[in-house]
Amino acid sequence: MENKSSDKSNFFSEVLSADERIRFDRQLRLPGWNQKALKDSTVLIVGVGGLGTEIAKNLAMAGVGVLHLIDLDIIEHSNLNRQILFYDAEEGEPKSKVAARTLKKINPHSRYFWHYSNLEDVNPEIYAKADLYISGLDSVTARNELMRRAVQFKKPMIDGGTATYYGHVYTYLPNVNSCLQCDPQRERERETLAACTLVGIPRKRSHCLLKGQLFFESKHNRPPDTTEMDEVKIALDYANDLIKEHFPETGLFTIDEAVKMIDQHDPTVISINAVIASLQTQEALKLLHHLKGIELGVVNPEYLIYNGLVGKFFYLEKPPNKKCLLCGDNAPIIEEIELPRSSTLDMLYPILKQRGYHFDPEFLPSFWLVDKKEMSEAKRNNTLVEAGIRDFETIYVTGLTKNNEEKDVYVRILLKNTK
Amino acid sequence: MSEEFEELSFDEEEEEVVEETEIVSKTPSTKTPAGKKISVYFQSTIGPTPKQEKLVVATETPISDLKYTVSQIFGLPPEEFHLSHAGRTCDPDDILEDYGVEDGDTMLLIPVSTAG
Repeated sequence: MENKSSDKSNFFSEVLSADERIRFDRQLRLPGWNQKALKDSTVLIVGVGGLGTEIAKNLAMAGVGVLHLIDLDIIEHSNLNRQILFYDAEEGEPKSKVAARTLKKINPHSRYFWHYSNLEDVNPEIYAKADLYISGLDSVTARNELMRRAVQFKKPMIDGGTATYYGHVYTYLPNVNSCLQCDPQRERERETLAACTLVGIPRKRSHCLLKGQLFFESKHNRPPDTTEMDEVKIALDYANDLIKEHFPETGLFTIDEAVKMIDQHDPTVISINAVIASLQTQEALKLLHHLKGIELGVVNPEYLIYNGLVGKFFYLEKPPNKKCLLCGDNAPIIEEIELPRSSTLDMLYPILKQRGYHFDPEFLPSFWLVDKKEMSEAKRNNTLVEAGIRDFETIYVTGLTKNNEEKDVYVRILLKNTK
Repeated sequence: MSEEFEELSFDEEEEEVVEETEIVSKTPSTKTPAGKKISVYFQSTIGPTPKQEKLVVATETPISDLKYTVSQIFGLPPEEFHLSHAGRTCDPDDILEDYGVEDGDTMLLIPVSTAG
């Protein structure tokens, strides 16, 4: 460890320019604060919406050196009630791109990388090398995907979420508290409502409207435009015919109900958003100090709930679940294997054998590309490049045994540059 | 409590008992949850007036049933909250017993805050 006096000084830190020293003057005076620690940090923000924009703005203003902004969405004018970074954007521009553009104007001293994609398409190397992840996601599936990366790369993940006047903040700390898989949630979220539940007789009143929507989609190959009354009417009439047939005791859907259900968006307001985003930011700033070996307060390992209707906070302890299949005692082992990109997957068999695994040569273990958006099985005769395997890509291997016990294993591929 | 009050309430109780015997449950008896009966405190963190209610519940009650009943008592739609016990969020397809809930334990109603 270097121990220059400029390392400990905020005001005379060699990583800060004269401009930065003036810009950050007030926070450089904070007890325990270390601006260099923040400048040297890389944070990944997944979901650049209500929470993500607010957090990105905060971290950029605080002087975090590198921000990766990941979002697959484009800007709509309905984002402008709370998403400050998009104030001058055109409708339809990618959120991550505009966020990076505005942040550069807010604080030109940091670097911003935007990824207009889902989180799976972002290079695994970025997950491997970031200091921590922040979730501003609105999907349970995506949160689970990000959490798996957090657990497997041993990175803290600061999750936040809102619902009307409520919100939560939860910082996953590896080996300290529970991951998302520790809670045995099998319940499907609304967005992944399987099409098969909609086949046949509608079991719920809401299914009638979903069927109406699917009816429209089958005719026009797109969802109804909720700003066009005629289009909503088509789905609504279909739905109400089903209501009359299957739920005659309940009332028919109104056109406004149809609009809200077809164009599903959660109600949110800036105040609740800003509270949750600020709490996430504050936990991140402390953690970034800790990760650089600098003491600054403690990170709250509890699940925090904010009820904005009564102005109160509630806290839940989240002990890790020993039986958890992602982070518990029986979670699959991660084997790191370094190989040149021209190697075939077939070469993994002897390497795994070398590491004490066994398998039936008649039924060779399968390689599953779990980091991809659509999980698929990799062909064993493909090279790593042909299989689309990236640096730090995780592959799930089934069909192995060790000490006569069946073992599922994750293999993390590190691409070796031999030149 | 005064004697007069007890006399009054006694009359009312008698009427209620008669009423109860006339109600026929629509739930098939095979589906009626059994198991041990325990007292559990239900505490909400959401809604305009977070509060606590003590309820006697059967340990084999499905979480989904419990959520429905609790939603009536707290005046909150069941899709807007999860039940949480000792830091574990309960899945509606499980039964209470799966979470090791014991007499006198507290279950929290926590928001389904998934919006970003």
